[in-house]
Amino acid sequence: MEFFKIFSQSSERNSKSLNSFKDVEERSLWSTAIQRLILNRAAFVSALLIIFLAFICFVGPYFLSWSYDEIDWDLIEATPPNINNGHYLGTDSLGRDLLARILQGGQVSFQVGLLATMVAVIIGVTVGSLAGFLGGWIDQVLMRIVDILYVIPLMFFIIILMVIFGRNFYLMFIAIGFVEWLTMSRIVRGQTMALRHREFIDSARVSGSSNTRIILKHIIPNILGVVIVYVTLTIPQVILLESFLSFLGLGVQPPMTSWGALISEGAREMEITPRTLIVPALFLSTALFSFNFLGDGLRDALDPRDR
Amino acid sequence: MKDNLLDIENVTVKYKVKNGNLFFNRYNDFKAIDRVSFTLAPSETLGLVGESGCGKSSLARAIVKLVRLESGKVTWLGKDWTLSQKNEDSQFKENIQLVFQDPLASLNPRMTVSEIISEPLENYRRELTSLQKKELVKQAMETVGLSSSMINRYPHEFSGGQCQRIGIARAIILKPKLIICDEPVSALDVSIQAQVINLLKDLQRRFNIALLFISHDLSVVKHISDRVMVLYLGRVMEIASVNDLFSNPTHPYSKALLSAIPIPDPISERQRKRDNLVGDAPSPIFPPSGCVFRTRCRNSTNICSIKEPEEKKIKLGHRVACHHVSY
Repeated sequence: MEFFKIFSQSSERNSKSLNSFKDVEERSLWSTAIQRLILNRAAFVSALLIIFLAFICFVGPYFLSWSYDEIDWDLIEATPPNINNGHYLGTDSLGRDLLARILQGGQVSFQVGLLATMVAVIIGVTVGSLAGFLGGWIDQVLMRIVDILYVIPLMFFIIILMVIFGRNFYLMFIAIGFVEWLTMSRIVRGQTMALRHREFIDSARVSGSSNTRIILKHIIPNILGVVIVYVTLTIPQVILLESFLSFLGLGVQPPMTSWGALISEGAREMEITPRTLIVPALFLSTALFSFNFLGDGLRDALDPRDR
Repeated sequence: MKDNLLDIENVTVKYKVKNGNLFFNRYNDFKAIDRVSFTLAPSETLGLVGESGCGKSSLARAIVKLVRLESGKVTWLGKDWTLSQKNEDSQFKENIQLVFQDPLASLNPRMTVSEIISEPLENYRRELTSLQKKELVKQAMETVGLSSSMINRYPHEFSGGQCQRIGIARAIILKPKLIICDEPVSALDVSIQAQVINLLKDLQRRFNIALLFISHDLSVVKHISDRVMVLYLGRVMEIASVNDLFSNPTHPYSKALLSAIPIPDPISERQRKRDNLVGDAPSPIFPPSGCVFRTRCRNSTNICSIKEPEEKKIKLGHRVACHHVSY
């Protein structure tokens, strides 16, 4: 009985799909985007790689026998990898386990890369779309604020923040995000201004849509492609900026580290132990490559036109 | 006057044109629409013709408040809506819908057909459940001749004619009393034009919709309209019923326009007499003094450059703005 039921159901579905062969099932922008992302091999593999890297960075340290700030006094110089003593990638020049440091550095770099970029995207898209869409004096005021912020040197700004609020790990996200949103808002503003006079915006207005609805439903989905590409460019930039700040002593402080900081440490010793440069660089470049491919794939997946 | 759906009185639309140099911004006003008045009865079709840049689209946009009115009065069912408050606006706005010229550009490329057509419902019929909305969308799609199975497709998957049908479906879903068609067929090829025009006519009959039909194609206007208004540089030249205008055009500009309609027969096309206009329309930023048409008019005399002609009523419902037309 059960079998027949299933059979009849499926035959019914078959006949239905024959009758209306054009029938396309309901799909939202994001669910189709994810489906298409999975079909895009490079983007899908990149997404898996990012998830994998993030997973080992955040979970891996619990399974290592050495922590990132523990000095192995027997191996105080950079020693090659050895499975027996638990230093799977060897130690750095101070005798700390390299793998543990890379994983801990990955945590910082991922957090900085994603959170700071998110701050930049949220502020940048909001300001940019408001300025571009509303125009007039609002546009003038917002863009002049952006101009003024552009002029302030980054280092000066961050040092002032550190002086006022004290040294804080999360302050760095805000500081970096606060600098990166400027360019984002300019890009979004330009795109929005190009969209503002398109006919479908007028037609939305005739349909009774409010400004808020037009920005959320019509403007932002149409600038998403540009925003995502810019995000994929911003993430590496932010990770490198963080290593620069750390190098100056304004970012993460030793013994904590980040990928950028590990690389700049490794670069100092690359003639003696190239391993301390190459291994963190491999991790960083894999992550950045993956972000770029994922961003590219996302942009294609979110555009219904080139399906 | 109270039976009229829409009364337009002395409506003027002004645009600013930047006309400065590197150091100084100077702005020139130009009137895209200059003191235009007309009325529209329920379920009537008014054709609006004129050459490019004469303000046809500006008038359409002014009526739906996409463009600010400089002066004048828009009366909807006896109520003045020119300075109406926001909450009253919705009664006015949901009853006037617009069909756009470029079918594909008027549809958001990131939205499915279902989202596009249901947009007016999202704004004016919030109380409906999403299922009810979907049902209404499907009905509207069937009404305009689209298969409701295409509901989840994106605009780029449709042809121009189908896109225009989507635009029409969006316009009729609230059961409006007036649809303004801003050159709805000029971007389509001829066979599709006929389908879309007949669809509009059919919908008008079924739902008692009034149409304000803007076009530069006179044969289309002749086919669909009850009355026709001829615009030139933002001013009304002549307004008359279809039969009056096409059989007995009075204004020199209307005559010239009508004589330019091609005849689909080579022999009679070669033999017919044309009343060609010389030159282009003058710039609306610096319109000619007096009668705006005088620079291209063969009948123009002294008075035309001195005095602006008033609209004269030569017959019931037939008005002409020309000095040389007598009653």
